[in-house]
Amino acid sequence: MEAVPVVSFDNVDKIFNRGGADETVALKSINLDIRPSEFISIIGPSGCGKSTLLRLVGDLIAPSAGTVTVNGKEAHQARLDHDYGMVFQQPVLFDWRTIQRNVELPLEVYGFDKAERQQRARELLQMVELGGFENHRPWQLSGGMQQRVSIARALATAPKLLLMDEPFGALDEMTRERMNMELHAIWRQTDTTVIFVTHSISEAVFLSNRVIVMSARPGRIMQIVDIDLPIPRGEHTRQDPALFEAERAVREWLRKAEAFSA
Amino acid sequence: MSHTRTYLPAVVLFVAAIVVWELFVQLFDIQQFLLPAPSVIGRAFADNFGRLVSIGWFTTKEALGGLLIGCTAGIGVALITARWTIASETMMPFAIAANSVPILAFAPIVNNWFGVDNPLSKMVIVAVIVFFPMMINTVRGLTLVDANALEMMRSFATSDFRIVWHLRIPNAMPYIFNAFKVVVPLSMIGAVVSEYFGGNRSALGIFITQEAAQFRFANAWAGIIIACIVGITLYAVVLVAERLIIPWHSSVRKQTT
Amino acid sequence: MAAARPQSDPTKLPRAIRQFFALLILLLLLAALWETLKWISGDPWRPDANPFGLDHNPPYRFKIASDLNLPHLWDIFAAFGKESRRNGPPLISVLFSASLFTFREAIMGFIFGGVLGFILALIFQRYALLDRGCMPYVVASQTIPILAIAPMVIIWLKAGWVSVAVIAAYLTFFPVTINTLRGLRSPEPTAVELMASYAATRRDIMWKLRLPAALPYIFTALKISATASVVGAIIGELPSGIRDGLGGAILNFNSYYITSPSRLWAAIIASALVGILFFGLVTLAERLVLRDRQAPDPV
Repeated sequence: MEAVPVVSFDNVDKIFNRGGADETVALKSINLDIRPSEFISIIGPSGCGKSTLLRLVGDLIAPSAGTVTVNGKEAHQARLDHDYGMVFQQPVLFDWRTIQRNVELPLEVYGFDKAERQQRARELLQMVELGGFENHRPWQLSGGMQQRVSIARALATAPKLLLMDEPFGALDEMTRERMNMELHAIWRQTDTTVIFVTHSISEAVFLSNRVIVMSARPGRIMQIVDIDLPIPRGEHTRQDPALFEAERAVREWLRKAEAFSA
Repeated sequence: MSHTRTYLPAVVLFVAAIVVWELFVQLFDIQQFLLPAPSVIGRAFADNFGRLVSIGWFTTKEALGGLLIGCTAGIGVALITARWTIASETMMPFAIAANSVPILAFAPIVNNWFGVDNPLSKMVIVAVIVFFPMMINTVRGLTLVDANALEMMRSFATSDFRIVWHLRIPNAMPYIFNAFKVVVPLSMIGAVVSEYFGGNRSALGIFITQEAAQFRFANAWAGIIIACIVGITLYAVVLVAERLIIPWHSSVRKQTT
Repeated sequence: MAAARPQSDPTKLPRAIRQFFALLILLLLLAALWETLKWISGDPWRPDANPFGLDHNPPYRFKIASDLNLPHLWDIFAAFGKESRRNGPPLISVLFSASLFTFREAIMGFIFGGVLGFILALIFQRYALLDRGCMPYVVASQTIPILAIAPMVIIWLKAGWVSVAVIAAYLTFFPVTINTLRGLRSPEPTAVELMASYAATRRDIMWKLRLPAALPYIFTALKISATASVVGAIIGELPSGIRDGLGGAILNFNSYYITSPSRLWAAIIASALVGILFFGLVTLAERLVLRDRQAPDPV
């Protein structure tokens, strides 16, 4: 039985400044189904519209044509129903709140009561291994720690869908690998669907069930590469020849995508 | 230890300046009306202390009243117009231009409106002086919000009111405190100078001009010192409030990273 | 990603046109408010004394809206054309020369203060010890109501435009020092290191890095100073007995307020225009000098 897709793109176009002198076709004829509990990465040359794709799912921008469906309803309704959590490239933590209260922010906005909020935020901070930092301020944490806080915040409402926009792009390689492991563990623990925008091939392959390779101008889906590495993944995966094989396949498609864009 | 390092040069210079001033006046036998010696001013200060405190308090009340009216209005208008970005964006250049109008020139008119002896006439002038910097800074603080943070709030599908409450107002707090730091000394100067255009006899501005006009300069200086003390005290209150209210902001927090 | 920026709304009018209309609407609103107040609570409108020939008796009488305290706008405009005193020149020419006089004081003060402020900033930037020793006093100097010392400054330096310019200068230098210093220190440490890697001299670093970086900060200060110097010039004239400037005109017309309030209003409007004009000139200079820079601040 084919499961109902969590996210579904049906012939979606996105055009910025339509009719203006600087009209840009960011996305063209996007058709895509994302399955429940899937970890799917989007990769492509810069300007290929990967972030735009993610923002369409989150209803932070509206499509110019076609429809985006999230959990069987319009993306707009899904946003109003708080169906997803989002992690941005910048951690976007509020200096005027403690770490704990930053994680509580969405719960506060959704009207959870105080005891429940605190309980949930503490659990999540434990999960991202920041127990004990509840009363710190954002600027007292390193970049990697800050981004873990923002992941905890995105998970606060236990969404079935997590949108991540190059969350580890600003981190160094070592931290990024550690964060990948942690994200993988969180994903397995929470049974969430993750859409992950990145420009790192190894990150995309290590984390995903499927990797979407996009081409630019206009942004199109070039190829979807299945990653058949056993789950759970960990240090052993990094030695697996199948990983290198998958990375090579993605790299090849990326090269084609770049040629196509140029 | 770092405190001594920060403040020591300033303290040393202060003491040195007073000593040099005193010696300069004594040695060159400078006439009273040109520059009274610190010791003479000190004596004048002590002799008139009771009177100085009462007239100082009178003018301080005018400054505080004006601050209250002007800051409330400035923050209020900013909150209302920031709701409509187009309106506030279009109006901002005019608010900034209006800020370059010498408001003190209006003092005689306002004196006529509310009565020369009525402290309200001074409060209104102070309020108008204070209004524009406060409004301009608050609008900046409310509008110059990190675009990422706005997008995040949108992803929560939250109301405009909550965006204002959770994001825009906290973001504006440092701007508002900066405005306070500008406006508080201005309020005292505004109150003193608007008294130049006439006012209650028991006010600092009148005292300074009258004593100066009758060549009792040590007394005039003593009045100026009172004005300074009040200005510095109000400024210090703002600094302390800033530390208490926005301890998270980079201008306040200790270097821990 | 850049593509995800919000789109500009094509229905929006160009900014300049929008602002022109906004100014027009703002002025009309202000005028309407003014006259409405007079309609509701001012003195009776006589048909021969207003351009519309209206005969109207306001239902209320507020002191604030009387013809004495809030003259009709047309009366104020008419006052510009009438003679300034019996058999004297028209008010507009008197106010024009007074404005020029005050403007000159303000500009002299602005230049003195600007140069002094700039030099202080250069010194403080170079010598950290001096910065630590003097900066608290530079800050404290601004809590001294210089305008309150004005009577004594006038006595020190003799009444004349020089003493007034000194007062204007005192108000000018502080923002320039603070902002220039902030601007000189604004380059990233890495930018300074880059210059150091070229074995650049202190002078090179100043001319090629620190000063260009400080320019926007300096202009911000100059805009504040332009306003402050006009206020300083007007207030400085009050105790000095100088009668040729706007401060003198305000004092003078204030004493004839009961007989013709419109003249005082006219003098105040002239002061406002001088303030806005000076501010506008500095803003224009800023636009010219910084035309190739990215706009730092949309509001």
